[in-house]
Amino acid sequence: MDKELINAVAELDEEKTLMLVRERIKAGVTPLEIMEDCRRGVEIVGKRYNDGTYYLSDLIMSEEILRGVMEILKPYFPPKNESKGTKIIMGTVEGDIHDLGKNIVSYMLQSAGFEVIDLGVDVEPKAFVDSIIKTGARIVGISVLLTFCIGSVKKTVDLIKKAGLRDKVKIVIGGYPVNEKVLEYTGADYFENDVVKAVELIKKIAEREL
Amino acid sequence: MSTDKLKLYEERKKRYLTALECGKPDRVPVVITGNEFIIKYAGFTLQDFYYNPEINYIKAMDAFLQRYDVDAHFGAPMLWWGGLHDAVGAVYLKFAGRELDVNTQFQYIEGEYMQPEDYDAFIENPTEWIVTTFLPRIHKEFAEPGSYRASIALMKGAIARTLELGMLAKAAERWAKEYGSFTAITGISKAPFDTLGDTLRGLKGIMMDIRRIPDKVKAAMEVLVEHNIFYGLATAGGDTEFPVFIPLHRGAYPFLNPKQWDEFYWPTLKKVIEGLWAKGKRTLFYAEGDWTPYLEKIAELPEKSIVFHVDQTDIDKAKKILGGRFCLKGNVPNSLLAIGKPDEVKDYVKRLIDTYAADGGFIVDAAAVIQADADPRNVEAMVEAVHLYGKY
Repeated sequence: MDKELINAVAELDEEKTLMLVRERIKAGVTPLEIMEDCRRGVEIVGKRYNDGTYYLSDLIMSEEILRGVMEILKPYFPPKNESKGTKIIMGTVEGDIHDLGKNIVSYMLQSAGFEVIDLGVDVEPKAFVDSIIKTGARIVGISVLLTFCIGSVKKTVDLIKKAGLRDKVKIVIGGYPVNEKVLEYTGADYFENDVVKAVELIKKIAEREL
Repeated sequence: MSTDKLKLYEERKKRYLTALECGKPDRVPVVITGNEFIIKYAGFTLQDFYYNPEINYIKAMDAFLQRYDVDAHFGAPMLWWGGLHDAVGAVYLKFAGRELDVNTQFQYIEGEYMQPEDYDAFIENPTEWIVTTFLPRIHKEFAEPGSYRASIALMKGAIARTLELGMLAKAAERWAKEYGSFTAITGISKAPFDTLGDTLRGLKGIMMDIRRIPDKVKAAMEVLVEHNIFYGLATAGGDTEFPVFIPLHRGAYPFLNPKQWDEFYWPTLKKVIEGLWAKGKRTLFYAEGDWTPYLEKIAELPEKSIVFHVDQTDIDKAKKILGGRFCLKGNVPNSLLAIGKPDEVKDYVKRLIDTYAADGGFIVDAAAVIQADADPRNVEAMVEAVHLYGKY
């Protein structure tokens, strides 16, 4: 465990993190070890967001720092780095192109060891269904920001049902307009508005319900 | 104007303005921020509307005002005239019937249209930078400034904008005359941080900048203060009777941490609001999202200088901290208007009035701009409930 690197990530010190990563690589530390330390740093970032020390701007910065780290590490990774984590499909619902919440949740899930299949934004219901069939993922995360796209969330859940896959997957919806009423209306399993709580929720689902 | 419409107009105006002054009118006013809802209600596709506003704008508002007895409204969304944006080749917008389905609301494609290295030129002369660098980047037709194509596009854009303003003026006259009705706001402006963070640098860009180049962000915002005051007054045609609309975005919780909020978001927004107030212009502080952690700071603004719009802000706290100082407006949830039942809407409005409106200075409105997903019966229930329970 590399406390200096973990702290640099947790403190959102971009310059120091990137410098340390370059140094460690030069010194022969493996990219996987470096990633693991960064993951620990990101975990602290998540905790600080949860207890109200960090805000969204801090999460965005942390994502940017990690992007920088990955850029440095890329050439050192073996060509096929197959993740063995729990699979989760993520996407912003049809008609909506907002990706901030989805990206942060995806990024935090990846840091927590999940294999995230990111379908992007404005995702048709059929693309969710196809992806469930293709990947065998058993958790689906649907992100929505625009209130008038809540109908598309329902459409997606309905199509999953129609395809006979409803009892094979847990569906989590997230975003600004979701609440108990929207959950009931759309027929999804869970909802969450807070990114870090969403990650906790998905971890729990993966542990207890799959 | 016929005498009964004139009477209605004066009654509504008095009711609305009294509430803005934190007073107690004869009844709680109800204002509707109708936008795309109005278009759908009138039976048009969004494409019909965005592309034929010269016909459909009037027709849509007629249908709306005939059914809903509201004290003031926000007009229909004229900012999004597809023809105007197509004429100049806007790359940052998608429109119904063009890139999107005929009934999908326009979408804004956020990007870092201004780069970090543009700050110096922007600070030096913002208007020059916008005309020579920014507009060519976000409009295909201006790609080569000074070219034949760009010159024609400039003319087309300017003509379209003039036509649009003419349409709006004519529409306002018609609303007053036929329905005794008016818009709740005159003019529009923004928080300097949002000018940078929404349109120029984008969310991610601005969040990086406040860490990497904080001084440049501050200098750019200072340049924007005077501009945004001027813009608010100019777009209102100098009117100071009604508030200027300032939709607020990146200052909502939890975008910025409190230190960043105090350092970057608040100082220049405060200057804009105070600058407008010094010229007699009140601000509709349209606080989209949740602003609960910042209420104490907002309370420092001059008394009555704003109308605080409640979306997801804790309304109990808003009332406690801002009540009496500023008029509050809000907050019927849009999800309730979309998928709730009329009785639930009525109950919500009744509770709102009973709990927060008793001592005046309160206006009922939806929590956010009402979109095409709202059920007309629910909107009707909202208006009816105010007429039913809102008398003082």
